Amino acid sequence: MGENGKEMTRDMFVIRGKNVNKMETMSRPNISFWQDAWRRLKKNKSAFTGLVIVVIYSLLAVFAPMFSRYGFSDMDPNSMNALPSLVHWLGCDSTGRDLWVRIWMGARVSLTIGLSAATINMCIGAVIGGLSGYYGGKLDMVVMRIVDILYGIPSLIVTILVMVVIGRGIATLIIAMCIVGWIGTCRFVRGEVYRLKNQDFVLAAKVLGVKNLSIIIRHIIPNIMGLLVTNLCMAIPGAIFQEAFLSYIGLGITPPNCSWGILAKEGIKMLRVAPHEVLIPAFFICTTMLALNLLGDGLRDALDPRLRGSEG
Amino acid sequence: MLWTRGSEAAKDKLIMSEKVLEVKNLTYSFNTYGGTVKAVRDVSFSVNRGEILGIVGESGCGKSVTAQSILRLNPEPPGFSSGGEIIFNGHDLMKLSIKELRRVRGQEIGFIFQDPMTSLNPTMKVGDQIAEVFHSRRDLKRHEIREKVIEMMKHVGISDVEKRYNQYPHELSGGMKQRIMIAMALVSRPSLIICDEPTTSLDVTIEAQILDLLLELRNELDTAIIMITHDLGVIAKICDRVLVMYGGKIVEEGMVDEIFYETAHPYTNGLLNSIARLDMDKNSVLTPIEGTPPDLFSPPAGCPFAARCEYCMDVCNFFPPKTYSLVDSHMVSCHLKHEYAPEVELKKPRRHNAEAGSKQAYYSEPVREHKEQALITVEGIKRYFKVSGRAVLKAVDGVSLKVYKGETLGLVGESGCGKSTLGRTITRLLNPTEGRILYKDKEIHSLSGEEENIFHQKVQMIFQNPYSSLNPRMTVKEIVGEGMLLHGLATDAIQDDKIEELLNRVGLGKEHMSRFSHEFSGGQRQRIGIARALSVNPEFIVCDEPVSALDVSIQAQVINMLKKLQEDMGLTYLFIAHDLSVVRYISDRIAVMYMGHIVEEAPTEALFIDPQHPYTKLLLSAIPVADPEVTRNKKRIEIRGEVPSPINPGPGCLFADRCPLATDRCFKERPEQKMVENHHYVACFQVG
Amino acid sequence: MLKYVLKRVLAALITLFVLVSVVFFMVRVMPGEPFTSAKLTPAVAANMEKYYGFDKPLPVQYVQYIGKLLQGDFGYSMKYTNRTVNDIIGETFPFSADLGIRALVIAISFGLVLGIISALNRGNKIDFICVIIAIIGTSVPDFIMGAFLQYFFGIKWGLLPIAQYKGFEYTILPSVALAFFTLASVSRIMRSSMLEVVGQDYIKTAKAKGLSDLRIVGRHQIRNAIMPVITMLGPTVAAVLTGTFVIESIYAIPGMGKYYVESVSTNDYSMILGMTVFYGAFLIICNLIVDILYGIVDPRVRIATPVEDS
Repeated sequence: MGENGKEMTRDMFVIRGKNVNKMETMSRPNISFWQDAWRRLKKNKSAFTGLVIVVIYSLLAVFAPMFSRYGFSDMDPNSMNALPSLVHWLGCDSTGRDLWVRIWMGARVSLTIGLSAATINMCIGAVIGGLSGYYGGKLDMVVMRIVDILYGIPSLIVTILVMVVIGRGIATLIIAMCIVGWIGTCRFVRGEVYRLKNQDFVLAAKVLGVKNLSIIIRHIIPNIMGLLVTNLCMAIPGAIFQEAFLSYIGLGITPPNCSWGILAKEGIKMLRVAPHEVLIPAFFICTTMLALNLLGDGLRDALDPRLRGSEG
Repeated sequence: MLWTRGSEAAKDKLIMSEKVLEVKNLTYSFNTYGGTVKAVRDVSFSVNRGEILGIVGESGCGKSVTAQSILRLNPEPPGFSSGGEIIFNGHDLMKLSIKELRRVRGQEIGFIFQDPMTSLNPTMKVGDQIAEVFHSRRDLKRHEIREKVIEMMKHVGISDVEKRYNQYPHELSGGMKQRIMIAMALVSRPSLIICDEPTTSLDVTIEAQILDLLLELRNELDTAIIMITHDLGVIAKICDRVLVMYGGKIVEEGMVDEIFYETAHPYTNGLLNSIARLDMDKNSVLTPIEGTPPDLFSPPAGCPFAARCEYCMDVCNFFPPKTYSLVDSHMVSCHLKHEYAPEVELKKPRRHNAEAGSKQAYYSEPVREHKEQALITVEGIKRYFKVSGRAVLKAVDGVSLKVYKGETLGLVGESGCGKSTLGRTITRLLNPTEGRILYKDKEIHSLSGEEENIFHQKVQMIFQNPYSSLNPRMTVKEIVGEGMLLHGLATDAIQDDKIEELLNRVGLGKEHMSRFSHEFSGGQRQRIGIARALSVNPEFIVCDEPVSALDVSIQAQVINMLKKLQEDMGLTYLFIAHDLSVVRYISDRIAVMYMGHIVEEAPTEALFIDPQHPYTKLLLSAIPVADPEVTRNKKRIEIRGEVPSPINPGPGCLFADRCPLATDRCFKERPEQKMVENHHYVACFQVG
Repeated sequence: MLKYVLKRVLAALITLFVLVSVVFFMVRVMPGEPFTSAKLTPAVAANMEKYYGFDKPLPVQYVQYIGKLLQGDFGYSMKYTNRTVNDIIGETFPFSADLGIRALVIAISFGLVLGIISALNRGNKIDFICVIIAIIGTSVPDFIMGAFLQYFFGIKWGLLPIAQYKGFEYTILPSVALAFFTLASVSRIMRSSMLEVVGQDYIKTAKAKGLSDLRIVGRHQIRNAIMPVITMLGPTVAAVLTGTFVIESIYAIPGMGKYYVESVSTNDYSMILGMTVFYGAFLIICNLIVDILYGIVDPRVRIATPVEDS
């Protein structure tokens, strides 16, 4: 008796020959790299939570101040250091400004700076690194020498120096953060492009006579997109952190503008009297960083080509 | 005790001698993302004292998992064993505690891994790594251990031992590292060593040295060896007994001669038929095993080979075959041995037919030179690479050759000899440092825009690695269609039909067009790569080791396809490979490269029957032939040393260091190519 | 090896030179010419004149400036009349160095241990806890961590001194606050590096030799896994150093960071520039030491690797 309950009979011993036709057909559904990555990301609970938090915070940063009764610099002398209540959802600061509005106004600044600094850095780094890696030769040598030197100088020192020289403000802060911030991306994109351009599929395109620009657009960029997205997501918390740090030491955003760094700084002054004034901004800074870190980890896992290769 | 493999006496001795290891009903699986992979299913075998047992099979057949589970080296989890016994020295290794098992690992059973490059700890001196085997031996003093290590290092043929002891792995060559691995496995004089593809990542000449060393050591130390390999040549060369595995099961087991000459399982027979052999008539067709191995997530209920077997019966799909004993040592799991089954004669491969025909016959074979113009002319090409500092790596150092229309020129050499660099220079991927290349009398590195377009259409390339040669973000349609659209060979409207036609040519179909490359197997990917090369109607294709990353049964599919396409479309090939048997099968002429130079060039048959250059002779003698009798009778050339560093070589003949014929002159002057017979060129002072 | 060290030293010197030049020329482009502005007291203005030599042509100024830096002269403060930057650094640097070294030791040792424990327990609850600690650690900026620790351990529970730096118990909170972020990143890198190494073939070789788990982890796994951690030691030192800026001001420690932040808020430009050069030089030297250390630990680095294309 076989497993399927059949009896072994004499008539089963007739040679039928091989049956390989069905072997070349494919049963799996046809999905692209990005669809697959999205599917993996959705399965990753912590990364998905991170994504949800990031989306909610961004929406609140855009809309919350619009629909609030208070302006972000309106002082209410009657509710100085007020605790969270129905009137002031997150309480008030030492001069009676509503923290709910200030948090989301601060979020606008912090998130904008974080996102734009990280994006600009990524773009500069990707272009320079990409060209250097792809064309190689003298260009690469020059770029790498410059990068090596700049890499040796701690970026925060440079940023501080630039801020001292060009003055404080949102725009100058972004500029200062971008002067050396692109170096990390540049190094890794260069390495990645260098690896890719020696891959057989790029060589095959060259043999077909595909022009360099086309190769970059069709073959190189799609293959580094995943890494760039991950990298961007990992860079945003760093940029938010830098903004907070610089504002904290008095080199970033200056009052009356507000950012999360400023809120934390002002809150720390009131630590003994009204700890909620530091706890609340700290909570939002930390959860944003946490959410972005989790999302970044999740993206890395979802987009890591090495993981995919081992499966296929 | 000396073994004479193949003799009746040896066979009796083997059967009589005691069992070192006995594996009973071993089953091993892995839990993965996609489900449970049943990698090894109900495998039983034994190893006798002093014998070399080969386990042969293609990738994914479970041979490595079997070997590693003997010492529980598979990562657990995800791996787990679900039954079986492994009896060694009267103990069941499966039941030992991990502490007891550690006393067996390294002490009583040694293990040699596939890739010596990655198997040694990069931050530890090699001598210390060998000495570590004695780590738990409290009875040995430090200097005693050191003496043992040094002695074993000498034993495995390492020179300059005191110096080597303190070197790090990256300071040693690949062959030397594998010797270190062998010393590590043998230093405690174990009664069994397990070799998991120990020569797969090495060049043939080094492979031959390592295999000879293993044979020697077995004779001296009387150690039993389990040799895991995919290469039937290695099996024929050193094994006494063989297990053939397929789909996680042993399908055939027997003495080496029984497996090769009295083949009983259709799979074994298929393997033997699908390998390109040195003795093959180049006009014959290889017989590939069609299809792909079974999916081990849900292995077939019946015989694992049923779907690909030309003798498949209904019963094969439903019932797992029993194991039938043909003679005491020869066993096969196949329903064809069932009493109800019809009598079937397997189509055997022809036996090796040594040196038939006269030398003259091979030279009088028509050579295309007279008939046609050269399609590609390479004149004095040099290609250097700067390495750090002022050192220069002379990858290609003055190569001239011609490829005629409609022929296949084989280009053979060991890794690092410059064959791929030459191939890439011919396809304009690299610029030459010196010299020129003509395509139909036009210099290819100074073409005008229009000529350049034509060149990129007419000259194409097929790559070695099927995994990196397809863009993972593009569909098959985009991959194959890119060149067509670029060169205006198809409009959007008729593109689909053209692509479908091309895919049909390489055995794929319309339903594959919208798929991404990661869904295909290695062989399928290689075929997509071929379709891409064909998409622009080329005349000339550089094939850069197109089959060396594939399993033998798949290799045959691809080689046959290339041959057929050549006939159908009148293609011209430059076929680059390290495997002389494949090259012989497909080439009209062969050029042998060594360290950036062509040392010999001849019509294919002439090169094999009448090799002139000592290096060619060495290569020919080193190739493992998948025929035990031929290997036994083969004239052996002693192989000296390893390929020296190509950075800043000396002024003389580059092979002089390893050459048995070398004289003073060879070390001072570099020999020019000269003609020894019609169309047969050699660069050596000592011949002609 | 000697060649490798010389190469690194040369690179460090070039970097240092670039940093110094950038600082010099930035002073020139600074808006409002703060060094000659009328707001300065005559004594300070004289000091500025003396150090920067504004009356001489630019190239001469440049050469003089470099010369002064080579002698270790960082200039004068604009706020504290007649105090040199050197004085202030000499007074405050020991506090910062003490705090920084404590934090580094905590960060690296605990970070490595956490990463190793996490990797060895891959997938189970211990790993989960370690990973959570690491992720939280990298999500909390050090000034927030500093404030929290101060609030809970100092103010609320009164376990440890709130501020100042006058004995061992005073050092605990600031050094832990300073170490936490770095500790978390060290542990994350160590964990992933350990997991990568455990899949390497040579670990299997070690297993096949019959070595105990302890020895495999100790001699083979950690030794190789620690490489990426060493590479990031340079940035780590930088992170700890910049962290001292805020931690020192939160805990009122009279270190260099506190002065630095103060000079930023009081626009004491000459002090900022002098200290920036000092910090930069210090970090570049730290990087150099790390590079050389790396060459010692990993035998492969010492040998030059071939360059692909010419």
